[in-house]
Amino acid sequence: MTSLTLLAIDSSTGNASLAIARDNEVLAELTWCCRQNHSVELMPNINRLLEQIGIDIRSVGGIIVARGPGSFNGLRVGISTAKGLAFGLGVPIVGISTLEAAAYQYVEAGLPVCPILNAGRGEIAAAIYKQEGKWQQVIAEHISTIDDLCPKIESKTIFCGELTPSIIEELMVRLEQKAIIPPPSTGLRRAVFIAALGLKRLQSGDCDQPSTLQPIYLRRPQITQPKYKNQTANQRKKPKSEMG
Amino acid sequence: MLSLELISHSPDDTLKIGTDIGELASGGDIFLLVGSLGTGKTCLTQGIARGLGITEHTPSPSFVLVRQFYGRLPLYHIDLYRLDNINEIADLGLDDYLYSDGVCVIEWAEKGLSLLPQEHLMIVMSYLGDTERRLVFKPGSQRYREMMTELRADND
Repeated sequence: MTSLTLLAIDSSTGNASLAIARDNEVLAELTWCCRQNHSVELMPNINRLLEQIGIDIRSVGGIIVARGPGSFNGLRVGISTAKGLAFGLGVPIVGISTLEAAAYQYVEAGLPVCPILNAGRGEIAAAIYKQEGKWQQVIAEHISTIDDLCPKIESKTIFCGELTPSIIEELMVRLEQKAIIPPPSTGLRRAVFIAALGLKRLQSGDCDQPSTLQPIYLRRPQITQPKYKNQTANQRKKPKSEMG
Repeated sequence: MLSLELISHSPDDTLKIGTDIGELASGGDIFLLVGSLGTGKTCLTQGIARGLGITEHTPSPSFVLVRQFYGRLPLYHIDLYRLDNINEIADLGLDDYLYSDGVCVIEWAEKGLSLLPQEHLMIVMSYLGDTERRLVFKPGSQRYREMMTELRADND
């Protein structure tokens, strides 16, 4: 089997990360505080990382990208970059859930893993994964609060992701021994786990299409019917006011 | 307090009310401005910017959709005027602003209400005369009710 070089891109939040892997070996990784500057910093950092290890972009055989949840603008930059590269290079693209990747570093623990991302206004994005025969999702990515999440935790669970001191405290108080909090040094989200999950999918013969890959956007509202599109001019009416 | 009503007699009045709002604003606040053309939405926003300590000119964001300014807190000035389709508004990625620590001022907010957080202060502006405008404040949560109490004290 010839070796496969992968470029993994995670721009889901202000913490951005890139990894270059060859099969199961990590060649290089760059994780940095990017804030909202994904559009300015992502491409130069991809170039820098490739140059540093002397790899030509044309020898990359697959692009792995984080699909979110996360910052809508960050995700759009990352996914557009990944799509452009995959399309231009003519290589497969694989989208990976940002939460799944955060959980995957604990795949060997044999316990449920609950990754958490801060969604603002006291809300979180969370999901639950578990290695049980195979790696699987137990609860899908959703917007929640620590209050709503805690009753769903039935057994000892590893929490990871963006665990602020207040989230940790609340989890410890509410869940006591059921909450396992790894040390803060493991809290940084790193693209190697996106790369690992992407490689797994590629090896099973599965990938996404550059034309259809979409971010996971959890706050997308319920839209039942377009208000203007597909209507002829004389059918148009003003959007119903929702003021009350 | 269910709502507060203030009458502005001039653009300067509107600017002053805006400045008071800007001084009372805290991170994460969302102000929705509703009212037809010429009722002073942009003028009120310029006041809010001033109250946040922003000294640069704050032109209307109608054509760029969002403008960012940096004062005591970041101000995200958003204008939905050019958007007619709720899907277009959803595609804008406003959440990065709405769920941030900055202050959001959204003009023509009625076009995208279902996409905006329930916790907001709505300001309905209407035309009374050549220079007179009515401003009705509808607080969507306790945070904004407290703010209204202070705003009323400032404008008595």
